[in-house]
Amino acid sequence: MIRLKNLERSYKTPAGQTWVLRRINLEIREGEFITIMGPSGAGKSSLLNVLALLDDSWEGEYWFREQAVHDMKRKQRGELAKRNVGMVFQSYHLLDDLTVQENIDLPLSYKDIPRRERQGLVADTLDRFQIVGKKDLYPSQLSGGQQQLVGIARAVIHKPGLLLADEPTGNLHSGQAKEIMELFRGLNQQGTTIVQVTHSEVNASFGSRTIQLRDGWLVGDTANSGLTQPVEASAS
Amino acid sequence: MIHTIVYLQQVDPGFDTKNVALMSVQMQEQGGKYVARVPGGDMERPLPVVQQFYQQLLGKVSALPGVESAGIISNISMQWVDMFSFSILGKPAPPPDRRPNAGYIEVSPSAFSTLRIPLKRGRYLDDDDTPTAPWTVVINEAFARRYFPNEDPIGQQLLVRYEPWPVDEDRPRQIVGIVGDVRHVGLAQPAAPMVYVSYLQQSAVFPGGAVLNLLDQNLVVRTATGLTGHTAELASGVKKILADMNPDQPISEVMTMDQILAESIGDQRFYVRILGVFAGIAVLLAVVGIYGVMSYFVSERTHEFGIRVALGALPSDVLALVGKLGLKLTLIGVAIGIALAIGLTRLIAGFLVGVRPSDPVTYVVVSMVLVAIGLLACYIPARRATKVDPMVALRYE
Repeated sequence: MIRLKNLERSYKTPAGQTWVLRRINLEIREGEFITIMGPSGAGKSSLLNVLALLDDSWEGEYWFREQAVHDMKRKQRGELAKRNVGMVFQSYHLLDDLTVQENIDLPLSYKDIPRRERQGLVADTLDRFQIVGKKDLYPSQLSGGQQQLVGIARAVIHKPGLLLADEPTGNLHSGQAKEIMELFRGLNQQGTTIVQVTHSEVNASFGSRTIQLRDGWLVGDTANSGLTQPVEASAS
Repeated sequence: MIHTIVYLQQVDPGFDTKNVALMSVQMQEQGGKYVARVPGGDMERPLPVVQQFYQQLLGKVSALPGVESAGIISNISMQWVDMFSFSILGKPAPPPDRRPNAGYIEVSPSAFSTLRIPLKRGRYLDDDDTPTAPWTVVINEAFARRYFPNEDPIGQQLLVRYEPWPVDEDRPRQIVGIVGDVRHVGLAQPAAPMVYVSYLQQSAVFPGGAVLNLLDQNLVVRTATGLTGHTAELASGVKKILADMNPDQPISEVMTMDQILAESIGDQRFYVRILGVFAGIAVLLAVVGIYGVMSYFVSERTHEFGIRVALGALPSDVLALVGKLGLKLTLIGVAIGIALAIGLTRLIAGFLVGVRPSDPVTYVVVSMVLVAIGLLACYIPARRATKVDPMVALRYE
């Protein structure tokens, strides 16, 4: 599904160039449930932003279903992400002045879908996530777990092939976290490719593959035991 | 107000203003050269030299190269006119406080042809209307409509009074012609009822300052070749004639009739300038206000834009989102403005001519312009919103 080849990302700072991703070579197959782990500052979220096509300023090659993302213009990347990617955030990022059903409808509103069809999709999603009774509530009227449920519903309503989750249970207690992770597992079993970033080994256990980042280097991959760790990463 | 100015510039004054120049000729009341005091009362007697002076002046000016015709007229300011009361012979005299009145202007017979005031019925004043002939008067259509609505004015006789003095002219005047309406009291006003009398058929004595009507005249000159580039030449020719006739005779600078008309709507132009300045300031404040509000809106909702972009919004979607809010604010402002304008325009109704205070076209055009300005004012903040980096925006909780 996704192939990254020598992908690098850096920021220019007054002190010089700061690297956050170094020569990342990674292949993600359809239907995988990948967990990205690593210490803070390892580049996990940066990699997720690249995968989500929110970040344009990287170098290297990025292939998405055999399409060369690295050759695309920003607008083309936006269109590609709109069709194929769903995002779940640690802080939910629901819009406070929209109701639950309006929040869920948001990704659809940016697609060329007739209103009637959108209403049907929203109703189906509310039903599927069992939050029909909360459709007219605002995010501030929901618990953290419920908000994340809405966030996931919003991320998957347009049936994306790739679901990216950045610390999706970081603000939830363990019970809610388990429910969310069960939900992810269910989505993955239904065919959605999932890439999550987490510090939690428990959450990682729901996935089928774990990769490790450190100082921007990909230093471990359970699907590739022969991965050679770079000198810089090993030294740290 | 702009509509009013445009209307006033297009309104027909009632005569042909093209190629007509005007100079004011004022004879001195004091000094005994033109006026003598009548012993035993507040009465003055113009000396025969006055009318001879005008006759000679017209003869010489008419002979200048390029001059088609010349005339004198006591008032062509297009802003005001002396109103004299009168009685109609053969009709019951109205009460003193309800006497009919009309604008009163002295002319030379040639003034009609020089100004090309159209004759509607009867005849113009002419050279046969001498002091010794029966006195005549030409009225305008407004006069005929008001005072002779159901009868023929031609042949009727008027006795004009020198308002505000309770003194009638020496002799009644017979109506011999009806001319078109000239807007002597201003282009913004409908034509007033007017009487035109010959400067040759004047009373032997005048009450108080009434003689000034005869002494203060305007020389109007129509040129065959147009006035552009020739006014100085014309003024020089007339001044030389006057200097030869009377070295002490003052004369004003030459003005074209178009300048006179432009001056007559000077008040409206002034109001337009003043209102234009205030309107400009108001629009500037509106632009600054909308820009400020939209800038604040964009900065406050950077996080939201980041989320929307992360969820698939394209820059055009973000632009539309901000644009819609700007449009909404502008429309609310315009709606409030229209409501206030409907309530307040009656205050400037007196300055409007040719356009109603509630003119829908004006409201629509002004509203569209304001909406366009409002959208322009929110364009820069909206563009800024499209540049929001979702990664940066989502980092803020």
